[in-house]
Amino acid sequence: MQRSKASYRSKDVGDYKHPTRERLQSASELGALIAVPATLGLCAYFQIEQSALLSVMVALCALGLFFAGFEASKPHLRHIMPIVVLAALAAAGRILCAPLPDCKPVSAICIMAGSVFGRRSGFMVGALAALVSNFFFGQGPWTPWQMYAWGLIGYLAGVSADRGLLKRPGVLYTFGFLSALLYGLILNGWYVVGFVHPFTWMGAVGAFAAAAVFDGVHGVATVVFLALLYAPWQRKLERIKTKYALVD
Amino acid sequence: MRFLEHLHPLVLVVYMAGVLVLSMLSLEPISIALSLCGACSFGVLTRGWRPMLQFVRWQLVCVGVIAVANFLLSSTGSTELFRIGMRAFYLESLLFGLCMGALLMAVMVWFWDFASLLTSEKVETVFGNRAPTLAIMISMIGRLIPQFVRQGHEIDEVHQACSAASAQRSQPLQAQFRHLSVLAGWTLEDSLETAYAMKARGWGYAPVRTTYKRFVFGRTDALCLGVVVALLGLSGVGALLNVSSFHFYPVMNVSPSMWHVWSAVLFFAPSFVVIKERCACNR
Repeated sequence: MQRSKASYRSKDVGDYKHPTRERLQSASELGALIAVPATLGLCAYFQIEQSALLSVMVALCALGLFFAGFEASKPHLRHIMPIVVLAALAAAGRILCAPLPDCKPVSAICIMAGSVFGRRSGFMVGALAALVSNFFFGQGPWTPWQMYAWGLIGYLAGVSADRGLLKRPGVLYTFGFLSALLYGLILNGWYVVGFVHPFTWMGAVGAFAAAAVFDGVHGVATVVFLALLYAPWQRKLERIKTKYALVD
Repeated sequence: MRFLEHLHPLVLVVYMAGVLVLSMLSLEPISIALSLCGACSFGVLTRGWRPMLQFVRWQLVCVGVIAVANFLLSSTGSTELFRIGMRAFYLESLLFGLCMGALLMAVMVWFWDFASLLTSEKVETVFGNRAPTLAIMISMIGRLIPQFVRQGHEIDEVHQACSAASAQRSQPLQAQFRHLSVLAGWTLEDSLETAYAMKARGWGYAPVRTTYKRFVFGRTDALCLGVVVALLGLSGVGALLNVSSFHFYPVMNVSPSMWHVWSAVLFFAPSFVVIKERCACNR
């Protein structure tokens, strides 16, 4: 009886992965995520003229790798639904909060998604929320960067939650604040490396200092959203995870 | 416009991706100016002067900010404009900033131009069957956002009806966050019910989804795709040659070359198609 149930479940869930394959996929994801800031750094160091194009290509490749991996894993409909709903909530929140500059709930929702549904779901929520909300704000060369940055926040939240780091509120809020700063660092870094020539560290520091206020507001907003929403939503999400057997 | 509207979306996607990459690749004033003019002329032809000006107004502010930022942040060049203390401000770094701003503006105007032409349905024709899961996720997110507004009103009304309405007026923020949580729970459960319903109706059981084909890749499309790819190749080679011989610092050397002609043909091709169509209509 027990056995037949187990075999039914593994067939139903259908995404059992060989450990080696799983490890390979994790390694390639990590490589893709690291390649983007590494390219920015190398472009700055070697003063490459086409750094705007080169770095955007690397960011697109990283996103493409994640999306292809997700598509290839043939996820079940019920596994993609939480991602869809959370990404839609993040995008709607960003549109609702648009009158207040930099008060975006997207980072907070990505952190929630990553911590409850795992790092890959966190990445997908961030990337899709950025993509879809930009249908309202306007697509542009910044779209891949926002997708990457918010995806990265969700991914890191998933990795931290796996290690049990996000359980304490203090750590969670610090993580939220730092992840908003990371978002700013990536987007400003792309601007400085791609659009200010010749690149100087003085200039980079100047640009980051100019954006510090906005990033700070984003950080505080993320902490506020986490403080208000994290605990009730986590309970809600965990309940749904159990109710619909979304655990692999 | 009719010709472009009836063209197979693949041609449009290739053209748009190529033009965007080419614009970002060719970091020299003449190519950037050609790209910007091509994008603006197409925008004016398809959408009219007034919307174009309204759109560009904000982009010009953006260009100004980028130019000034580069001017202030990087101090390199040979033509000194003025000096504050020890720091000199050079014409070249201002011009570089202007070029970068114009490049960003060109990219944005291209996006804006194609937003009206490449509808989501056409994008789905090109990418939908290659990434069916992503396609359905994106279209579902797009559908959920307006649905949230409707459900939000409904939650608000129910809440008002089944509680003393005046009591919760005192803490509107808390009530709003509560509504948000209700909305999240409601939509999540709803979406999972949808997932089971879709599964029951056999979504995703066939290896390839069948779709109603609105666009058939015909001979005209093949011809257009060939022309676009050829022009992209020629302009790409030209852009690489032009960029390698061009430099902003210490002195800018602007020199038009034969290769720029190919870029010009590529960037103005959509405008040309629209003008030709209008002439044919007027005759």
